[in-house]
Amino acid sequence: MVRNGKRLVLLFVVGLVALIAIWRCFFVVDETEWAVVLRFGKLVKVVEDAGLHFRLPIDSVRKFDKRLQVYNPPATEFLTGDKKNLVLDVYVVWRIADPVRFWQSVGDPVGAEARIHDLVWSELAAGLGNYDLSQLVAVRPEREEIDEATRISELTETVKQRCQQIASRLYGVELVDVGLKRINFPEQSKEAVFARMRAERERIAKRYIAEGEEIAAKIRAEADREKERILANAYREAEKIRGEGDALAARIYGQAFSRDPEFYKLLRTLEAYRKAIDDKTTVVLSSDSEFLKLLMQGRIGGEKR
Amino acid sequence: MNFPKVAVRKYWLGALIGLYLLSGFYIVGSDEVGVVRLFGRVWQPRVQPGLHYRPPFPFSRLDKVKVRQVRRVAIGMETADVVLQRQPQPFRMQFLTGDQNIVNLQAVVQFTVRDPVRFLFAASEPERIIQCVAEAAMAKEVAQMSVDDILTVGKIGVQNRVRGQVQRLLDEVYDLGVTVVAVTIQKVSPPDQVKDAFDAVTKARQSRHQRILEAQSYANTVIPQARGEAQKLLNEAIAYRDRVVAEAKGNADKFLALLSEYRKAKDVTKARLYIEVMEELLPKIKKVIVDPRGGKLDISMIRREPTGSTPQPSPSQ
Repeated sequence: MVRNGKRLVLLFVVGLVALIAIWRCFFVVDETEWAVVLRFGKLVKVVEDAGLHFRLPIDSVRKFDKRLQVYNPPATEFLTGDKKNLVLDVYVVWRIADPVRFWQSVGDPVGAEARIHDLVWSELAAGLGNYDLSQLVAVRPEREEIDEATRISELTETVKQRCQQIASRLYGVELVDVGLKRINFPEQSKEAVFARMRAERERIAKRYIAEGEEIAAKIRAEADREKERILANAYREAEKIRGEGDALAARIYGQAFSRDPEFYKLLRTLEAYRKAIDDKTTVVLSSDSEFLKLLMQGRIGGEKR
Repeated sequence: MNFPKVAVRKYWLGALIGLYLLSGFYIVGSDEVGVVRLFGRVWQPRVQPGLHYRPPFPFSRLDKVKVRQVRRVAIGMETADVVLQRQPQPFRMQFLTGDQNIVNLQAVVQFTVRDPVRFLFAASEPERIIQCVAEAAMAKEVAQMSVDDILTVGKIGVQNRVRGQVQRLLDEVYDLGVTVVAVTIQKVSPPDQVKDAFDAVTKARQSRHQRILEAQSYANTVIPQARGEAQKLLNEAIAYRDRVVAEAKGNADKFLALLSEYRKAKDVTKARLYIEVMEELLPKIKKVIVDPRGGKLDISMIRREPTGSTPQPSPSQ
């Protein structure tokens, strides 16, 4: 019974060791990792693919994150080509591209970020010297294209390209993107900027008021002119109509009166008497006038005598 | 005595193994997609909602991604500011415009996960990358616009352009497996230090508008008035014409009627007309009758007679 028990324990121990040895022969590489297999500190292989992989039990495995990393330290001051201080908030997106070189040269992400910082920030400082502030920051007319190259992207693209080579050759790091999250003036010069903004606003406000007066005056003047034009046209038209009326009336009179001009004269003269003579008039009548003839002669038909 | 012991041990072992195998069951919710990694490698990239089985830990790992969920990252403020509803630090909001003005701007980027595998494994902090890329795009856009544009009409254009740029970068450079739903500028305003100056401009613009409206309303009253007056002039002219013509016709008809009578008895009519007029007029007036055979007229006769009404100071003879 005792022997049997000892054998059982032995079997268990041997089994356990074998199990551990078999377990040690495999290692898991995640989707997010690179794995470097080392035998006594010497590189055996680099595993890129995720999954279950084989190794000798004596090998050790180091893993590196192969995902994209963001490096975004607090904003720092830079000098533009025209000697203006700008605060730039820079971010760098990077990933480990060559785990062996990365491991040998920088070791860990913190070391990598320190080197990326030195590299990118000095390139950026140099690159920014080629631009004036008014080039980086400039109003451009409404664009159709969604992502037209700008000076800012030109700058970041240049910086990225300059650093990319060094980063991959020396540190095994791929620089995926360099971008400017923010461009701003430093705190100490903001007061001056605000003063300038204020002056500009005042100028614009004055312009609006002057413009309002001007446009309003123009509209009023145009309205007045239009009014005069309408009235003048109407007057002309009215006079024409009156003239037509007068002409037509004259023609009607003419046609009628020309039948017997003598009779017309008579009638018209009599009519004129009616109008011309009133109670303030003193008339000196000759007794042989047509009206008084009979009166003087004393009898009717005197003239026949 | 041994038999039951073994049975119990076997039972426990079986139960444990059973429980372990059962732990491989999992549920994917209706708004989720499951991603299963077997030995670290993606095994099932898109597990649809429902009950599923996977080899239990440590052989596989399960991630569930809410693909319907609209996620947000903030621009011009910290995510914590959004949650706590607190005013962000001034320098976080400040953007530089193309005419070198400073504006405060806050925006939100909304996105959904299109490809859970890329979203899970492409970047260590995908949301931070999206935030950086979107903020950079925003800074670039604002740096090309005038402050007036960004504060008034330019907002929509900026939102669309930033959205387009961010989507393009995230797809082409990062391949993050996300879809940018919208970039929304939530607040854009001049900084507090110059706010009153901007308000003054707004007021000036309104006053300009007001002035123009007043002038237009003046024009809108003056011109119709003039038209009305013009119409009145025309109507009067037409009335005059009609009246003159009608009078002419009437007078002409009267004349013609008289004429036809006159022609029937010329002398009589002539005399009658003359006498009628005289009859009418002579009673009203002062008369001085002179016999032409006397030949002379004594003007003093006229003078001596008081006229009854206002005397003529110098009667002209």
